[in-house]
Amino acid sequence: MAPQTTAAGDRFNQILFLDPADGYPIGGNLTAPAAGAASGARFLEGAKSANRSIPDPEMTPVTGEDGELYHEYEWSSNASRRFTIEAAIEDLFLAGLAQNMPVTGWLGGQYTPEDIAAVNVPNVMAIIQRRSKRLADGGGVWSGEVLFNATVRYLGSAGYTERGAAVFRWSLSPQPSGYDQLGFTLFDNNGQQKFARVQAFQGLPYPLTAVAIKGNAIVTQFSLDKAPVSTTYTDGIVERARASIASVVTAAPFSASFSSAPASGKRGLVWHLFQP
Amino acid sequence: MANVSVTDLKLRLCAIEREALAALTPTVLSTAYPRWTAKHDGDMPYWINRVFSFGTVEGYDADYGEELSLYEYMVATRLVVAHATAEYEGEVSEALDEYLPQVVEYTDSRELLQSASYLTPMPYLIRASFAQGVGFTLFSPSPGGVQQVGADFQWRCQFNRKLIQAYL
Repeated sequence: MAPQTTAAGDRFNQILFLDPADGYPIGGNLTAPAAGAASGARFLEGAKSANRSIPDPEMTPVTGEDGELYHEYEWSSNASRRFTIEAAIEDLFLAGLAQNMPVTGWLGGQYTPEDIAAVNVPNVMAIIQRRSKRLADGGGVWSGEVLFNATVRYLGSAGYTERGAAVFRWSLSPQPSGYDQLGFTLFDNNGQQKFARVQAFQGLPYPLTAVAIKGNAIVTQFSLDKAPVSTTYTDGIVERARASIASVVTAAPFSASFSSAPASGKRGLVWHLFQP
Repeated sequence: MANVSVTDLKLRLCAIEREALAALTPTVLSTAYPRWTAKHDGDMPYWINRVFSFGTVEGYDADYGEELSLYEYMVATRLVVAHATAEYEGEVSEALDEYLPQVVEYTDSRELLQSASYLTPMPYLIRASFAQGVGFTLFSPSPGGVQQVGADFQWRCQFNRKLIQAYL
């Protein structure tokens, strides 16, 4: 029987910025890491809700002269897949980064402009995931979605009330993508290329993260922000082609080593499950 | 990262309790203990404090996300004003009538539990506020002992904590 899971506890939601010129992931900053270096995902912490959904199909009824229904046409909805992530924790640094606005340190705090004209809406890759239970045996697993290509916007805050906790809001709009950053071109079972917005996953034994890297033809070892579980649960992609990982270092400072050095200037990703 | 300090919480309340009565005219000097079984030196009035209930206000519908928890510690405070035998023609009652609103309003105007002894806001504390109280009451501090007169207060203290889950 196919593995079925229940899900709860949204956690470890992440954003990796994409290069606006060619769509390759460049990591946690708006500029790619230096050649031979890595840049990890930005974590959106304290997520209260991240309700990604596929819009309901649209229906067009065709009625006859007497008002009797002749037929119904069903269309795949072209409506925006935009959804909102609401978080209980404010991260002004990430808000500034997403808007391509500076974060200024002043009077011991952080400052960044908000609600600006001509706001920057960067392209990102996002990982939305949550704790799950496998129904068959009750085992704990992780499930969620990878959005290969989305736009992110900081929506400011809401819900400032006299007693309750405020909410900091993010908008994500998944966009169709013919390639996913897992290193595959998306073909359907008939061999037709498809443009998916989301790659859903379930049943991972640990949560998922990705680190963007840039090769310099010399360095094979790239640093990771989170503790990798093992080499088995780590994979490498260099410009959408699989590149095998020879080993990982699971004790701090964490790293992963490619079997051969990624070529100079090539962007890639180290996908790995991490010890939360 | 340190936990919420219940010790600090009670000490801060003690400091405010002493200040509240000292701010009266004429000044009332009191002793405050961050424990319930106070071995005090006999001077009155005195205060005793304890955490009597604690919990979370998070529910399935009102969650703060996986990383953030909101904890609520209820602190019970007892103000002992005098021995029951000191009540002759309402002196203790009158004193309590004066103390109760002073204590409630003095503490409620220090929602981050700051006082002359504790100038900085308490770590992780979102707010502390008066919840409810019981006025003129007779207490028996020990079996067969002389009954004491005082009042009870309850303070609601809410804390935000970011927790790291240990998935082993």
